[in-house]
Amino acid sequence: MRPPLHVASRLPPRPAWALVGALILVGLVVAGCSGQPSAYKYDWSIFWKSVTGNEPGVPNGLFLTVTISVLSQLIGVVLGVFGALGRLARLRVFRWLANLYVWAFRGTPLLVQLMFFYYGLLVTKLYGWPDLVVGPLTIPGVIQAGIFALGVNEGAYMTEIIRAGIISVDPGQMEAAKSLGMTYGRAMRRIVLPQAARVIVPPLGNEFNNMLKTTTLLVILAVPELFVTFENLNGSGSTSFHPFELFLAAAVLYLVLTTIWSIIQGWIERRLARGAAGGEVSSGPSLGERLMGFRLGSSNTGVR
Amino acid sequence: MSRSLRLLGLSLGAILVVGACSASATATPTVAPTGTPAATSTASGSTAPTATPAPSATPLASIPAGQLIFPTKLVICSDIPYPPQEFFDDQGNPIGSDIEIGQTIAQRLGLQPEVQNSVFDTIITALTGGKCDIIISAQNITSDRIKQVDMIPYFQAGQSFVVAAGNPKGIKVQNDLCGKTVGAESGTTEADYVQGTGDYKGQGLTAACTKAGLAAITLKQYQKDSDALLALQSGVVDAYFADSPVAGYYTVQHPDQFALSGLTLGVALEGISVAQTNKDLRDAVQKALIGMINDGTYLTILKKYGDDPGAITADIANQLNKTQ
Repeated sequence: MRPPLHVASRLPPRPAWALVGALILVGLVVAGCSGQPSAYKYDWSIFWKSVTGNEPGVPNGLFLTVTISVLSQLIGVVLGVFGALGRLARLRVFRWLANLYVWAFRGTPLLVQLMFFYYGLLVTKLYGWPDLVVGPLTIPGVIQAGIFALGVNEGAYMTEIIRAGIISVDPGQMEAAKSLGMTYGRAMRRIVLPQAARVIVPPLGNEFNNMLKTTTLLVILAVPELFVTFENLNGSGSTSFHPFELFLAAAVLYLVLTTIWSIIQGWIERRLARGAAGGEVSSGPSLGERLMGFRLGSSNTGVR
Repeated sequence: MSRSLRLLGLSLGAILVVGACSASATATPTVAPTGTPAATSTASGSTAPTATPAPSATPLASIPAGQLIFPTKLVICSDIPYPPQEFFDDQGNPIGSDIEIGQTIAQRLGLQPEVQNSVFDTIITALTGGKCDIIISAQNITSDRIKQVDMIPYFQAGQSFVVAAGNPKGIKVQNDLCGKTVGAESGTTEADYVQGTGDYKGQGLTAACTKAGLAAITLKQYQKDSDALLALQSGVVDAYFADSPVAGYYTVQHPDQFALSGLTLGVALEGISVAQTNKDLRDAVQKALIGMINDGTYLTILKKYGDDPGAITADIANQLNKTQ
């Protein structure tokens, strides 16, 4: 690497590194292709049919993945707010409870939690996960269990993220609000949390991006979300044993979901940046940078 | 306060949406009333084919309340795919000889069949936990399983090895497996057989290798049976071990990729599982099955899927929890 031409305050990864990475990737692919000839017959119609949602179960799988993710993340955020307030509480009992929660749920694998909360509670009859019937709709117990476990697990991570956000707000804000006669709860809701949101939202977006992909773990409970749908397609019928086309299509669909989310997240962040002290309205990373995680030849490094 | 209420309303609304989806039979998330008898979907998105015959007007036996999850339904758990006994057709409907036997039993008991796709190594847990009325999933009757559930014999099958087309590893006799890697589904008797666990204690295939002074078999277990075959397809394992009808089906469907090794081991009975507490349900299912065997419906279903070599007699179906 050459020494930088300009002294920049913060150096993003150099384009040279991106090029090296891309070359390594191409090298790996070529090395992989040079193996023995395979009897595998590509059927690209399977890819196109499934990626456009024309295989049975794919639209339903997409829908379930998104709804389960959104609900689990909502539960996670709500639990995270209470967890964070608990961790910052003056009363020792609350601190102790919140610490125990974070410790237990961050310290054990989600897959283990899923098995424990569904089958563990089922066989012991501690909780039978009955189907929930709301009017004409039935929510299967297994989906409730999945959302529960994903949400409670997520809450432990959100606790730490929200706690960091609250700490980042100047304690003077709370003091000023209280001196104006606001109660603790009101000051938290009206003054501190809105300011903390600016710090919370970027990692929250990260968490939701993860959540969209973590729902694949529900395969262990046979919940027919997007991944299970593709597993089923791979196991049965005319699409069977075409893992190359099928899982490439699944990857594309997940990529579409996370890309859409990136766009939404960028929009939310720009909204929150408005009116912030010293906030620049549109100085966030561009969509490309957000997706790639680095900048290619950005203006900071100078054009060469 | 009002804000949190709104949030609550929002999440409730979203929960409704999930329900709408899971209750829908078709791929599009339309709302389907729960009471509709046609094509009711389940937690796993499997749907009963619309061609399912209507529940019989004169049921064989009435089942007391409390022995069924839903008063008018028979929830049939099955680990799909395991063709030709259980798999999905190109419309995503569960089909296969096991599925049709289950649907016919439900019909004869005056119940609406509902097929629920399940994970094999937790399928008995799902039954004892109250999520299935019966299991029809090519389950061998083993001494460990009958400790937890009652099993009605309904089929029999051997166990065969599938290898890559052309049998490149030359697996022809049992000792050829020694030192090789074998893939099987987790929780199956096949996995037990290789490892020498369950009913194969002291007579596992690996133990036979070591006894003969040969290298042990490496067993790789997969959560889904089709993933074990995927491992063979991609060269991760040297052989795939499953019930003979399944092994045969895959080699016929994909002759360019898979072949039978020609090595088939012991024939064993398969059973329909019912919770031990539900004696009336169990007896009713057994009665319906024997009726199907006697009037020929049973054999017609098996023939449709090429499963007729595994047919059993009414006499055997009558012997509850018969392990061999």
